[in-house]
Amino acid sequence: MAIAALIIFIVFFLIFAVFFAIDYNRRKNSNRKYHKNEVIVALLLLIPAVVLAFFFVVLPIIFSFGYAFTDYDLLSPNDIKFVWFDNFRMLFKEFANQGEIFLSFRNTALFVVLVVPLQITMALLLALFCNNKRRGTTIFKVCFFAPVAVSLSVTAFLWLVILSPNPAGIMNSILKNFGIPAQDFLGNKNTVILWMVIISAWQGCGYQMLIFLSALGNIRKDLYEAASIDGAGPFRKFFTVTVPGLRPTMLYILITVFIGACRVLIQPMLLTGYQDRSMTLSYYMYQQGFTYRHVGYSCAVALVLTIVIGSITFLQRKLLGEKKK
Amino acid sequence: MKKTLLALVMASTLLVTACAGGGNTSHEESSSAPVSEESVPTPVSEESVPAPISEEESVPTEESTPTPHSHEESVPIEESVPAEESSEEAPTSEEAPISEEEPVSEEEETLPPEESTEEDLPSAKLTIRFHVDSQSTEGMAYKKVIDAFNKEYAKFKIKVTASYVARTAGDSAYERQLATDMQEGTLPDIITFDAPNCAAYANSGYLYDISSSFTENEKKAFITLNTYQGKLFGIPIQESSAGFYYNKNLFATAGIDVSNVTVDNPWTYGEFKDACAKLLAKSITPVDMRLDATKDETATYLLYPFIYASGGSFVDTTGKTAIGYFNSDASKRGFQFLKDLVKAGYTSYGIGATDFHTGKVGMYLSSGWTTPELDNKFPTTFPNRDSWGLLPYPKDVKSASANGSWSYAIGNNGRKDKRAVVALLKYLTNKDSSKTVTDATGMIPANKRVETNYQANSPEDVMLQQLIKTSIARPETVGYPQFSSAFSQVISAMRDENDISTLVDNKARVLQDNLDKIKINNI
Amino acid sequence: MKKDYRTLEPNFVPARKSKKKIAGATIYYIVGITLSLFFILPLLYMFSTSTKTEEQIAFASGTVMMFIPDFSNIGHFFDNYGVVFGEYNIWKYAINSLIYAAIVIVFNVIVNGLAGYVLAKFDFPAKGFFNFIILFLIVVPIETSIIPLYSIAKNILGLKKNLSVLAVILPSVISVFNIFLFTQFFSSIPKEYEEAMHIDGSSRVRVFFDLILPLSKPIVATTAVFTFIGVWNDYIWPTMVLPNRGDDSWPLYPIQAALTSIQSIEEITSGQVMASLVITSLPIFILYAAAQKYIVKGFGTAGLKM
Repeated sequence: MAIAALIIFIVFFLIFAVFFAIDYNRRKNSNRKYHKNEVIVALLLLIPAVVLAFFFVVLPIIFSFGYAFTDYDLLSPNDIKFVWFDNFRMLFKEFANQGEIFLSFRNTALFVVLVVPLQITMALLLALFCNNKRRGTTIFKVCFFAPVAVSLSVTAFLWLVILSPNPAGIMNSILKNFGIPAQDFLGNKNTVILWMVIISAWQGCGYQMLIFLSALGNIRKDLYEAASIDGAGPFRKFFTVTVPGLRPTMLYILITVFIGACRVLIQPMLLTGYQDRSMTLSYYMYQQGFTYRHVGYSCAVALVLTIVIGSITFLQRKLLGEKKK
Repeated sequence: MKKTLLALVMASTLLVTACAGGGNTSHEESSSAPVSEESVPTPVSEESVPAPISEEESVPTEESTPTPHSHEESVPIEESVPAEESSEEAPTSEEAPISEEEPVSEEEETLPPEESTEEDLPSAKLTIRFHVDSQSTEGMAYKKVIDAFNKEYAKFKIKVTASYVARTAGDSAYERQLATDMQEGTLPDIITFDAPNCAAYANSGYLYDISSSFTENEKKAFITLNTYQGKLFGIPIQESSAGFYYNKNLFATAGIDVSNVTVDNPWTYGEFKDACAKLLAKSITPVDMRLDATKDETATYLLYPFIYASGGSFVDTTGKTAIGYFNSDASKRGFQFLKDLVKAGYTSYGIGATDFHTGKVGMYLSSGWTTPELDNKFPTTFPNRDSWGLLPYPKDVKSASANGSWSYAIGNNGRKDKRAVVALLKYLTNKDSSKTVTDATGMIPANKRVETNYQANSPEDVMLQQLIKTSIARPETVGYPQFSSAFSQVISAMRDENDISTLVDNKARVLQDNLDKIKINNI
Repeated sequence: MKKDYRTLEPNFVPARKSKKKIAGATIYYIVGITLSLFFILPLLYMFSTSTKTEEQIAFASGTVMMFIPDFSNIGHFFDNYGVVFGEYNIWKYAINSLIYAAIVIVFNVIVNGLAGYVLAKFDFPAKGFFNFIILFLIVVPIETSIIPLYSIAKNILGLKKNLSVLAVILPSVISVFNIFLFTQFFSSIPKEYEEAMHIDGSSRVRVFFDLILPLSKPIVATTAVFTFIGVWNDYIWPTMVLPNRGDDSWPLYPIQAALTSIQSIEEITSGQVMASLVITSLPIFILYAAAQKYIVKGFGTAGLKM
C-alpha cells in the first residue's frame, strides 16, 4: 500500500512538473515573467495543505477508484485481486435488466429534478423575506437555519411521526379536515420521492438562504432607489435589479445543490430504508459496499457516479457561466 | 459546505450505521510488554491449593439430556457439577495438533516453572472485545465475568483485557473494524458476533474452528451452536426468541380465550386470524406485526419464522442459490399469509412504535427486550403481569420460531497456542458466567445447565420452550445481509403490491444477483 | 429595458401611510413566526421530549403534545439531563470535543488560509493545476473513501496508539472547500493593501498574518463555524481510530462518538437520548447565532463564483 501511495505521489508530482514547465515556458519570453522568489514562497506555503490533502483526500479517492477494478470484499482486505472491468460489466448488465441500479438511477434523477428548483426557490424566498431592516429578522434567520444544524436522525424521526400512515397521524389528521382519506406518504411509491424532496429542501434551504442573503447584501441600494424613481413596482425591481445581481451566486448555488442532491443518501436511509421505491445511487453504492461487503463493485458505482456528476457540473458551468459575460 | 454536510450526514447515521471503536486491543503490546507486570499479581498460595479443581475433574459430567424438554429437571443434577472449564483442558492440550509443535509465542517463555499437570496452561495476555457499551448493564455483567476469570486464572498468569465497542443497528462500521484488525493482525482473541454473520466471518477466516475444542457432551449443553459447513465456530452468549405480546384486558373485552395456547399446543394460522377478527370487531387494532421495522434487521428477525412455518425456505445448503428456495411455492404461501393480514385490516404499516404499550393494539410481535419495558415503563397500561402475556408463534404446516443472538468466537489472529483462549471461551460460556450475564440482560441463557425458575407460561418460559422445541435459525449463508435486505424489501413492498408471487420472484432474482457477487473461500 | 440607474439620484422616497405600515408589519411578523415555527419543529420536539418520561412520550406520540413540554412534572423537568450529565459524564466528552475543535480550527484556518492566499495572490506556474484539483475534489463523491483512509492513517502514516489523537485531528485540518472559500475571499481584497505592506519590506507570510487575516474576519468566522460543526458532529471516524470508550483514564472520545455509544445502551430512555441531543445541538446554535452576521458577510465578500 505504501508503495502504491509512493507511485501515486510520483505520478502527481510528474503531472505537476509538466504543468509547471508548460506555464513557465509560455511566459519565458513575455515580459510577465515569474519572480523566482514569489514562486518559491508560493510553493513552500502550499506544502502543508498539499501534503494533508494528498494523504487524507486525494489518496483515499484514488485508492477507492482503484478498488473499482478489483474484487475487494470488505471482510477480506488481504485477498484483493484485479478483475479489471468485471464490476463495470455487472453494473451495466444490471442497469440494462432494470435491476436495482436502474431504479436507483431513476429515483435519483427524479429527486434531483424536483429538489433543485424547490430548494433554491425556498432559499431565495426566505432570503428575500429576511432581507430588510425590521427588528427580529436575526431571530428568523437563526430559526430558518435550525434544520441544517440539527442532526438528520432527529428530523427524520420527526417526519416519520408526522407522516405516519396511521389515520390518526399528524398529517393524516390535518388532511382529514379537507376530506382526504388517510395516505401512506412514505410507503406509496408514487409519493415517497415527493416527500423526500420536501424534507430535503426544508432541511437544507437554510444554508442557501444565508448565501442568498449575502449576495442580496452586495446589491447596491441605489439601484433599487433608482428603480423606484423609475416607477418600478416590486416585481419589476426584482427582475431588473435583484435577479441580475444574484446571477453569479445563483450558479454557485445551483452547482452545490445539484451535487448535494445527486449524492442524497441519508434521507431515504432514515425515512424508508433500502427499498425499490426510494433507493438512490448513493444509497445503492452504500448498500453494496458496506452492507453487502462488495467494496470493489461499490467503488465502480462511485466511479461512474463521479463521472456523471462531474460532466453535468462541467456542462452547467459551460452553459450558464459563459452567459454572464 | 461539503464538509459540513458530510459531518451532518455522518452524525445522522447514528441510528442506522454501527459504531465501531478503535480496537486498541493490540496484540503487539501484549507481547512486547515487560514480563514483570504479569508476574506481579501472582499469588503463589493459590497455585499450591488446586484442590477444588481436581475434585471437579473426578466428577463425570453427566448432562447429556436427550430430550431438551427435561431442561429444568436436569438442572439440579448438574448443579453439583460446577465449572466445566477446568476438566476440558486435557483434550485441548493432548488432542489438538497445534499443541504438538512447540508454541513459539513470546508468552511461552514466561511459563511458570514445572506445572506439567493436565490443567497446565501457558501464561498469556488475552484480549476480548464486547459489542456493548461498558456502562450498560450487559457490559457491566461481562466485566464481572472477566474479573472473575482473571482472579481464578491468575495462578496460570493468564490475564484478559476487555474492550467494549458499542455496536448499534448496522454492521458496516463494526465489520470495517474487524477487517482492519485482521489486516493489522490485531484481532482480539475472543470476538463477539451476531449469529447470522457466522457464515460470512468464517468464510473470510476470522473465526477459529473450535469443533475439536469442545466435546460432544459439552456441545449438548447449548440450545444452539454457530456452525458453518459443518464446523463449529461460535458459542452463543445468550439466546433470544420472539412472540406475540398481548394485552389481556383487550383480549377479555374481545372475548378471546388463549389460556390453552402453549408451545406444545400452539395456535394455528386460522385461530390467529380468528383472534384478530374478534379484536377488529371491537374496533381494536388487532396486531402490530412490525411490518414497518424494515430499516434494520428487526422485521426480518421477527417475521422469517412465518415462511418456515409454511414449509418454505430461503437459500440452498451452500447459501449461494436463492432462486427456487426464496420464491418456492411454500415460501410464497408464508408471505401471502402476512399480506392477508394486511388486506384484512388486522395489521398495518402505520402502527405507532408505542401504540401497543399505550393500550391501543391487541398484540405486538416482538423479542425479549420488550419484557422489561412492559414490566417497568408503562404503569398506566400495564401495571403488572396480570395485564399482559406472551403467546408463541402460530403454527401452519409446522411450528417455527425465531432464535439467534450474539455469540462468542475465537479470533483467528495468528496466536498459535489456543489453550488459554479455549479455557477463556469455556469459562465465558459456563453455567455461572451465563447466569451472570442473563441475570443482567433478562434474556434466555444459552447454556441449558443454568437453573431457571420461570413460571409456566410466563413470557420467559414461552420463549425458552420455543427455543428448545420450535426455533429455526436464520439461513446460514455468507450473503446473509443480502438475504435480509431482500426479505425486508418484500415485506415493505407488499403494502401496494397485490401480486405477491411476482414480487417474491423479482426479489429472488435481485437476491441471486447479489449472492453471485460473493466469493466463497475454502475454509 | 436595461437602464443605468446609477446615473440617477435617489432623491425621491415615496411617502406611506402609517396605518398601512402597521398592517404590513403585522402580516410580516405573523408570516415570519409561522415560518419559524415550521423550521424549528425539530427543536421543539427535541426539547419537549427531553423533559418527559417514557410513558408521557408514548402517549404524546402523534399528537400536538409532541411539541409541547409536559408541565405537569415541572419538578422533574430536568431529570433526564441529570442522568445524562451525572451518570454518563458527557461533560468530559464535550471538553474533548472542544479541545479537538479548537486545535482543528486554528490549524484549519492557517493551513487552508495560506493555501487560499497563495492561490489568490501569488503568481506562479501550475496554478491552474491546483485550481483544477480543488474543483475536482469538491465534485467527487467520497462515501467509499473512508475504507482506504483508515489504512492510510494507520499503516502509511503510522498514526496508532498514542498518535491516534493525531489521526482524529489531521484529516479535519485539511478542507478543500475552505481553500476554495479563502481563495475567493482573498481575491476580493484590493492588491493595493498588500503593495503598501511590501514597501515596508514585510515578508509575504507576515503580510498574511498581519494584514490579510485581520481583514478577513468574516471568512475566518465562517470557516471556523462550519469547521466547528464538522468536528463537533463527527463520530464515525473518531470511533474508528481512537481507543475505546470506557477505559478508566480520561476518555479520548469526542462527544458524538461517546453519545452514539451511550445511546446504544438498552436502559437509556428516549427522553435521555433527546436530552443528550439537545445538549449537543446547543453549542452549535449559540455559535451560529453569534457568528451569523459574519457568515453572511463572509459569503458576501467571497462572492462564491464557480
